Amino acid sequence: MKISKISSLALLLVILSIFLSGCSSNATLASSWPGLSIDQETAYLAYNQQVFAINILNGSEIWRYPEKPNAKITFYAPPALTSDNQLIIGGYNNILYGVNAINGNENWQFTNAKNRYIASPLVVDEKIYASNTDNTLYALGLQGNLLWTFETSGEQWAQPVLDPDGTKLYVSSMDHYLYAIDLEGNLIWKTQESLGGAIVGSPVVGDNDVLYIGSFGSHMYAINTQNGQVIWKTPTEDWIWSGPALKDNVVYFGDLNNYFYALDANNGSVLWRHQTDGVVTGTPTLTDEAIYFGTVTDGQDTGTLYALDYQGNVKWTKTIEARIYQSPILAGDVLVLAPVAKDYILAGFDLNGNQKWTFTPAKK
Amino acid sequence: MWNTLILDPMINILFWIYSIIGNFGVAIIIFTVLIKLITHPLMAQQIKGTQAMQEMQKSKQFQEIQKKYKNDREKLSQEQMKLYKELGINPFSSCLPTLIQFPIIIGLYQAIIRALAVTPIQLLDLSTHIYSFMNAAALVPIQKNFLWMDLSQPERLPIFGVGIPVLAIFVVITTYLQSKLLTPPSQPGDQGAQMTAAMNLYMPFFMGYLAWSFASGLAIYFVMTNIITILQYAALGKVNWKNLIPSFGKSLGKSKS
Repeated sequence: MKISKISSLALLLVILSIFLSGCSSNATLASSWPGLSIDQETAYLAYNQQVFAINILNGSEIWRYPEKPNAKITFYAPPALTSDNQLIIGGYNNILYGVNAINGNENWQFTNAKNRYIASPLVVDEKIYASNTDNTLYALGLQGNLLWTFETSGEQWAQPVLDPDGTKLYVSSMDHYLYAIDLEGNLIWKTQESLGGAIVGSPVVGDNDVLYIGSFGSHMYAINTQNGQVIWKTPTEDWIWSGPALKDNVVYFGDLNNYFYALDANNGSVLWRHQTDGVVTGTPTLTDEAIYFGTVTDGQDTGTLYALDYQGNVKWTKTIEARIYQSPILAGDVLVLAPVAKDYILAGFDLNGNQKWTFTPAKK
Repeated sequence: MWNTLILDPMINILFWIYSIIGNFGVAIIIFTVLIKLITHPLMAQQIKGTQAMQEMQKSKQFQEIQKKYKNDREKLSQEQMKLYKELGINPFSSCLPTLIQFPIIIGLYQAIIRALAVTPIQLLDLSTHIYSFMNAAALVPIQKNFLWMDLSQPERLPIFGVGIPVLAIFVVITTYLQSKLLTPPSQPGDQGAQMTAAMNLYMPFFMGYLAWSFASGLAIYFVMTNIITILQYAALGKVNWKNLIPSFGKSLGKSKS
């Protein structure tokens, strides 16, 4: 009798714990979308408890890190490749890892950060610039040695961007400001006005000392890269999550109210906008032929891959049983997509939207 | 339905309080107090109903019915219903308020978790719950620092280089106090009371473990809920001090006699 009481109590506690864990922010279920980066014929995909190296020609696995998943470690930031063939991976466990890109062996860990890595690290020459949600940008050497830090007032969710002149880094912050710093971590300027909301996308830098960035303040901004002054701003229907893309003096991006925009980079006037079937959270991929991006259909586990021409006309769409938070990346003639799907974590499409392969990690 | 009726209003009230106070830790405390105040009449009704049921079960009439029809379950329940009617007791008067409170408490818990939004998917999800008139862009992301805590992280107070889980300890203590103080006096040989005693022993450590491993914003909610519940019972005169300090109960009994 006593034993049965204790076991029913234990069962009750287990059920309660499962229920509460399901609601908890520490749950080991996927708590973000996959982070994808591509180098020639290899895709590096950070998703949940492992990072995978995948051959993009046929979707086969090359290696995975760590070999055995650890429930306490999750990865979602797109990994970055260094010149000495290391893959730099930021974890939700506050650790930045240096991993051999050929075989997936761990080289080093950087453990100074106090919070998770959501942004992809930026690698320039012999340096790694890793933004962290502890409000700090960490500059490291290729062996994970700390060089300097730069702190903002808010969390940093976006990959830093190097100015084409090679002397400045732009750092987006959720404190509503964009920062320009030199390569030693000294502040050059902070935008002269608040950008109206958190910034979680990376800016795109154009010619003539102008960069473009959107914010949760539902505006796209053009900013003078010499002094951080706003040149123009254009309102959108809702928050802008993604960083914009730039081509032939036109700025392309989507918002959270299902619109995709093309703005004149000179004055911010709307050249055209296209209503989609869901929110757009990824930076669009621009090729000579088309604009590619994905959507997450409102309240559903589906998404649509869009290919638009540069006049805003639909070339083709492909709706799949997956949420597409990030735009596909073009590798040769394959559009590589990392959606949040039930059955697979990576897929390859041809340039007409036909699915060529999918990748599902084998159980080991 | 759940989002429209429970979750979204709660998230928006929480954000509204935060927009005025500017401190999310204080906003959680105020919000918890507010919800507990709103649900206080339900809780009072639940306590009253439970007490009436307990007293009725101790009555002679009830015991006689139990004995008389112990082999005829159908008849037993008919007679019990008759007795409820005679004494003017609604058998659902204690369970209905509990049922109504349950979604509110779950909603409160979910609202806090969702508002903390620490990952892209969580933040994207949060953006769909905030009403358009709330100026969410100015509020998001919330400032997660409160006292020595990051509300989105498990709490540790560094003392001489060692992280002490102060809130988890508070959760253990207040859960223990709550379970002790709110348990009604039991009859000897009461099996239900044995079960309750076992729960009273395990629950504080279980809740402490949750507070130790979950975001500290939730641990604050746990502590506040425990404290307010004790205060609510105390206000209704239903706190059993002698469960906590038996000698206090005895001396109280002696002085009364």
